[in-house]
Amino acid sequence: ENYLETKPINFATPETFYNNEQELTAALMAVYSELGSTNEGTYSRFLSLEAPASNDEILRRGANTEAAADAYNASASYDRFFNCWTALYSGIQRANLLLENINKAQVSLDVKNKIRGEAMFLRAYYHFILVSYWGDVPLKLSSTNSLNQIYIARTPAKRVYEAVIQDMINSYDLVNDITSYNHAGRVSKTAVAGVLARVFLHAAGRLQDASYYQEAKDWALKVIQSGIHSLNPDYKQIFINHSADIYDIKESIWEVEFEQDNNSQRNEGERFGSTIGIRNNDDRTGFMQGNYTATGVLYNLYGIGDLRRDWNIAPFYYPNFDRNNPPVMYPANYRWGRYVAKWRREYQTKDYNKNFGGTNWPLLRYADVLLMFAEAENEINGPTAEAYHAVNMVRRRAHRLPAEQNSTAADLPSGLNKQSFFNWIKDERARELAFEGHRKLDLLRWNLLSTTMQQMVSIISTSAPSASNTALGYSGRTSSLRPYQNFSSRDLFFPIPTQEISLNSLMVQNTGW
Amino acid sequence: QKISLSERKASLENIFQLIEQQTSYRFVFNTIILEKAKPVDIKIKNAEIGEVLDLVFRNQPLTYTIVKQNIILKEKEVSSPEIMVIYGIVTDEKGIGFPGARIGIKSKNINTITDEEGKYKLVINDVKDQIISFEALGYQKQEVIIQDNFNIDIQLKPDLKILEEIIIVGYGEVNKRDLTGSVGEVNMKDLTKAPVKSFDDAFAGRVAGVQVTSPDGQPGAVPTIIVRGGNSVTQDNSPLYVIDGFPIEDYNINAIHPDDIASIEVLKDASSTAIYGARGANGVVIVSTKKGIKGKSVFSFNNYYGLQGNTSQIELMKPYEFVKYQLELDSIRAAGIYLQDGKTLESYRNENGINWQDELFREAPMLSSYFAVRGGNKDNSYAFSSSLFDQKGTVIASGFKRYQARLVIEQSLNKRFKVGVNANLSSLKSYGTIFTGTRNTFLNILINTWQYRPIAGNFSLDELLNNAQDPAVASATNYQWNPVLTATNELRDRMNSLLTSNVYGVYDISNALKLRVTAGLNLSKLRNDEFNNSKTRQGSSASPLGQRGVNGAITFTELSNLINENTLTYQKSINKEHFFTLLSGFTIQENKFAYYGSGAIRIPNETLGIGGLAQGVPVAIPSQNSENRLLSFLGRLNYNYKSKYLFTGTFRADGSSKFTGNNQWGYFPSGSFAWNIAQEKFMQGLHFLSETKLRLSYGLTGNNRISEYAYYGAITQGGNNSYMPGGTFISGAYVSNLSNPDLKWESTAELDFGLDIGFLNQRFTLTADIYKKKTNDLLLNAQLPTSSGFSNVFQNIGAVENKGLELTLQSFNIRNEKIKWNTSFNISFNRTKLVGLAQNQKELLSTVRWNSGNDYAQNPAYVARIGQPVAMFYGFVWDGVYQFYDFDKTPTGTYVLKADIPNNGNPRQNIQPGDIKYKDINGDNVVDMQDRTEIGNPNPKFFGGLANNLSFKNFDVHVFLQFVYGNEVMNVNRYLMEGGTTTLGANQFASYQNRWTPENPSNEHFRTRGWGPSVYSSRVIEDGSFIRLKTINLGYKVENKLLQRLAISNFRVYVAAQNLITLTRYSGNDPEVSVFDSALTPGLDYSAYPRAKVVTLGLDISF
Repeated sequence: ENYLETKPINFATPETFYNNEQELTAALMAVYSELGSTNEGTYSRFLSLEAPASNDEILRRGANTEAAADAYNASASYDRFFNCWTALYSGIQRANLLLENINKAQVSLDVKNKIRGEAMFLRAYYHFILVSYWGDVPLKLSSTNSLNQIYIARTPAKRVYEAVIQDMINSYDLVNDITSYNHAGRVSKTAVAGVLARVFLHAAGRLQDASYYQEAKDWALKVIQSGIHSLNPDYKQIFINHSADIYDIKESIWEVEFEQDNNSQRNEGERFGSTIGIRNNDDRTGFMQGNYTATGVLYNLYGIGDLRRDWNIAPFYYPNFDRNNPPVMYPANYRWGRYVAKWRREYQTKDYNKNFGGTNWPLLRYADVLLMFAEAENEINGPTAEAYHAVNMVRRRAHRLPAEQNSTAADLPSGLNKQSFFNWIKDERARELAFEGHRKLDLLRWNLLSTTMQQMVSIISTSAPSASNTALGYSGRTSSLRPYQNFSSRDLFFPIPTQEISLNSLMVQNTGW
Repeated sequence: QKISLSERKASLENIFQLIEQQTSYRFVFNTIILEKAKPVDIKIKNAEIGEVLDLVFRNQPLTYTIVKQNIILKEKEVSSPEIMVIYGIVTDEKGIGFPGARIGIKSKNINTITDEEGKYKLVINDVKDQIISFEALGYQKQEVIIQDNFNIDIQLKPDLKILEEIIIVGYGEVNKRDLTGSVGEVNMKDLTKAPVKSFDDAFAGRVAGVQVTSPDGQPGAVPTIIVRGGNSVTQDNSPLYVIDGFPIEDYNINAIHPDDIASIEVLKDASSTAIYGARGANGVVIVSTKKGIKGKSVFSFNNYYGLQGNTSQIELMKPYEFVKYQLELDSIRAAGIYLQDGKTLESYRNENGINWQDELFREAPMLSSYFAVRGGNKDNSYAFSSSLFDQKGTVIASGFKRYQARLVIEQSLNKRFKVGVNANLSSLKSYGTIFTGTRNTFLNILINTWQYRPIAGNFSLDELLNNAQDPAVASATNYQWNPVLTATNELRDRMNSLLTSNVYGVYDISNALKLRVTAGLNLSKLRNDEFNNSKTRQGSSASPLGQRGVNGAITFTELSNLINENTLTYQKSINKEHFFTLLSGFTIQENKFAYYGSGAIRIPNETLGIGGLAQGVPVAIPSQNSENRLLSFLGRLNYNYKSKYLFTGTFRADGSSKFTGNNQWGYFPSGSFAWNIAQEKFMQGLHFLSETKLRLSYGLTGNNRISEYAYYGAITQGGNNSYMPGGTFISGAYVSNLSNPDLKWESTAELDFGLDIGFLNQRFTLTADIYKKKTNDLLLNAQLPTSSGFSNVFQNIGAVENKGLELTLQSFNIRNEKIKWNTSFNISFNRTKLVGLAQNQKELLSTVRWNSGNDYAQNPAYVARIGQPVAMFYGFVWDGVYQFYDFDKTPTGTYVLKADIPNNGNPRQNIQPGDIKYKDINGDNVVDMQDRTEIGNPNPKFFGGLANNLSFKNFDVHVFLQFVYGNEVMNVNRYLMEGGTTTLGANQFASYQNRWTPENPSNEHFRTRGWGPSVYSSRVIEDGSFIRLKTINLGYKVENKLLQRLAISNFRVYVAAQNLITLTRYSGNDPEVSVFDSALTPGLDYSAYPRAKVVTLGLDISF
């Protein structure tokens, strides 16, 4: 009988794993890894560019006839919905298995706690992304271990938010300070606090429950009061650092780590860098497709002297889409169709791979924390001096002014009421955090996405040039309008992927899909 | 006194002189008697005088006597003729006079036949000691020496040989008459008439119920063999091979030379295959190699040499049409290239340009050389063979080569005990760029060749021919690469060494009881060499795909199978009426698999090739290791009552390490019954029926084709599931597989009803089988809702049903001394149906990544729906082309689609006259994903073959036709080659010249740029039916005295051809194609290596 009992000889089994710190760390890295899933379902491309577009800040260039989430014409069978959903639940499963097996390991409690904290936080973060885009989703706080557990029903969004908050709060005490790492690649206390502020703001908006603002403010304050973080004086340097593998933990609190090693072994590159950028077909100088452009609306949001505009939005183009040619400045009135230029591949330090690069994706910046604080404070107490100060620090940096130095050019006008202060924050978030994947989710939590999309139709119809300009990459008014015309109320949520619907008997589809 | 002579047409006197010169003999004769002498041809060395004289006088009217040193000649005496009458009556086995029997005396060349009553009469002279023979079709030939009795009556005996053919079945052999199951035999005599590397290439259409599809024409490619329709959905459906008793899954048939094969049997029904239990469900192919025959040594040589060419070539646009299309596609850029220096479109009217297909393809030689010697004596027998097969591909720098040797020895140690060994060693090498299965559009060389521009425009054709990249279209987004450079510089060597060896001992414990012990070893080592030098698209830094620089890899795949089988056979008869055969045994098998290798990129010294790997930057190669074990008990009881009622019961228990717990053991019983009706008394009157047998069988068989550790939850480590916080790489590990300890065998239940009928003493025979099989507990790599954290798991869910009808007809049309003509025909009908899938799952969609873009890769090309065949093409129904009448013309002159005309998936406002049109299936006036449906069926309605053998005197001819009817093929080449590509500078099929223009409102080809959305549609679904003149072999057997004297018993020269003519309506190169061949994704044509037609000249010699 024993003759037939063979043991696998080239892989470990769960029963024989999770024994020591190295194995626990390996299991944790696999949880992180889904942030940059190679099928581009997460931040390699989908969560960074496509899922949060198109809106009043960003627009996919081109005819918009192919199915895509950001053209609002994809169906539930669109594979990137599936890839994203699958990657996030895979991350949750990995985290659950790690959390369930961690006590087996013969390691110190400190090590266990740190790893437990990170895994718990990531499990919560993945749920947070799911609930943000899909609404009610299955909440999975334990792993799937047998075929009897594969059908899971949707959990009401409120319950998901509560679980996310619980997990994140629990992890806060367990994880390390960012200073112990000196990089933003792992989850630290201030990363947890900052993301918690974000989660509470979302909960407040999407669950229509203003009581969450207080906690949003408190957690943002924890980051501010940690004394670790401050703004980088040079706005553009933040994004150059992302590309150049430089860590500035003062500004950048949590990043998705990408590395391009030219296909040799690791395959941890991102694809958003070659998808956006100032269009360049020469892959020896950094191939950039320039597939996303800023809207004229965003361009017009920037005031005089705001240096962020010409960094975020390309001020020039390369003739014939070739970076070997000297750049040519756009005419001042060319405001629609400028490329997204926040990350430029010329700052990447490794040899160029055509499509893949090693630019890190920002998940949490200190500027965001300041704006979140100001927003929560305004919701609770109105535009207090603290709220003003937080926003002004961000605005002064945009003009390359010291954060603590008053500036008439940069500072917010005084005497704003709660609503007008909110409107300033709304625009400030667009200016500061442009293309960082926040806009659509912000509009959703403010319940402004539908009206914004409708307004865009009339704005484009009147102000965007009607003719296309192939030399510059502008595809014309008709194509530019298409995502906004396609948008309908069903697009407040992504569809549950077809495969999930057809295989999971307990799953029901979002309305309109 | 030895004599040597070498003369042609010499006179006798001349010969006499020569002999007298060499010896002391003298000739004595009267010169007159030499007048009737004939000239002499003689060639002899160091012979005795008697031997020489016998030769010299063999045909002379002279005899000689030797007296001392004198040779005295005299004329032969002519005896007076004695007239004789031979007479008698010929009767059949029942004593009834037999009309039409043939009687002959060969030495006299005299023949006659019997009259109505069976009587005959021969009038001849000098009959003493002559042999008279009696022959009738279906009866044994009888010969009698005529002595004093001239009244010779003969009773003919039926020739039972035809009925007593031995069929090899699992763990034994059986008299064909006593067979109860469904077993297809291959006529090896016919099969070896085909000039092919291995038997599977000539297998298609030879056996009813066996579907053979070769994926394409790449030399060394192994065809897929499916017996009675595929059972499994996601798992392998290929049959189990039993090579000289050694069961092996996934055997590489290329290892065996066809001339080494004595017989091939295909076990089809459950009754025959259940003895192989868990591995029998896909059918079993039993290959037995030739053994030594006791008697003198027989040497055989079989050599042929031939040439191969492509069966067809697709017509591409000539320069004029190409430039015209380019100007339509992008007039500004195209004008910059083609309309320089005063050139106009008309300048290209008579240009021929480059036909890249001519550059890539060639006429290629094929050579086969086979030698064998077989023989034996009372106690032993032996067979040794060796061969060389060298086939150059019809694509430059590709081909297949095999060296092979086999040794078979059997030795009796004593009366009861014999031992034997059968070992085969083969070394195979396939080389050349691989055509199919590459995901990236641009890596598929045939597409690359078709698309490469025929004309340069603004520089010389020579530059276009020799440059690595076409400078006019080279850009970061264009992956084109000179296909000739690709084919000549990409190193893709696949070298396989295979050793199959069996050692056995047979011990007769008593006359009734026999023990057989076998030990077998099968080793395969596949070495894959890949090297991309700086002239290749993947190795040149100038290529968008060449970022890794010069690179290469060597990988090894090692397989080993070890087996030990022990069987006891007991035979017993009671009263010569009841016959029992009882077989029992147990077997142990162990299979190991290993995959490893190494590779490097940015290799500095490319001239070293693979040898320079060490100097490059190493890259990781995923390694794999696995093993599995099988332990089995088997038993079979045959009971035979007077060869009238036959019963077979088999049982096998298999224990496999691929499963765990209670599922480790599977039990596979079967039973069958046959009734030889012809043996019944009430059938005795029906003279013309020589055989009538009914067969009925039912049984269970299994399939265990899953990976070794599928039931385990595996931890996968490394690679892209790692992370690099702070820029430091840390390997990640995760549970990649949901464990499923409930995993068990896939089981197939099969019912077979068969009928064997023979007429006129087996002159015409018909074998018919109908079957129905249902496969339950499908080992399905089932999709999971991914909210579970996993995408797939091996589960036993779902079911597939196959039912079908098979007919085999054989006929000896003419069988006489001079002319023999026989025909065999078979046809098979199989219907496959998916009965169930994973829980809640109604359909299974499958994508095929033939294209690097996301569009086609993300759309499923196939659907498997419950109640439908396992694979159906899936997509939109093509509805021609939008014509002007579908539009309203606005005052500004633009065309707006009429409100009641549906769009084509693109936004309505973009649609113009000439655009492709799809059917709005659900009638909502919008064409979207909901309008996809089944658009074609890749499963044939029927298939089969027709073989004819005709011999006339020394000539013989074999003609074999293969046919497949009713299947459809998705020709995805046409998506890219008929106006569907945006790539500038890509040539197109000539068929697209007939595209829609306002002047040519074609409903077949859309306008330039009118391609619409990138979706699968019925537009490229084509009828894949064909009839192929698969094999023709014309031979002449040379017989002359010289050969006889050299003891050459067979000297046959022949011309053989393969794939000469194919009749089909398919527009591609060949309708027999399936580049992503699997149960879910059959019948897709994309950049397939064209199939070659072969004409060879061969010579068979044996002595």
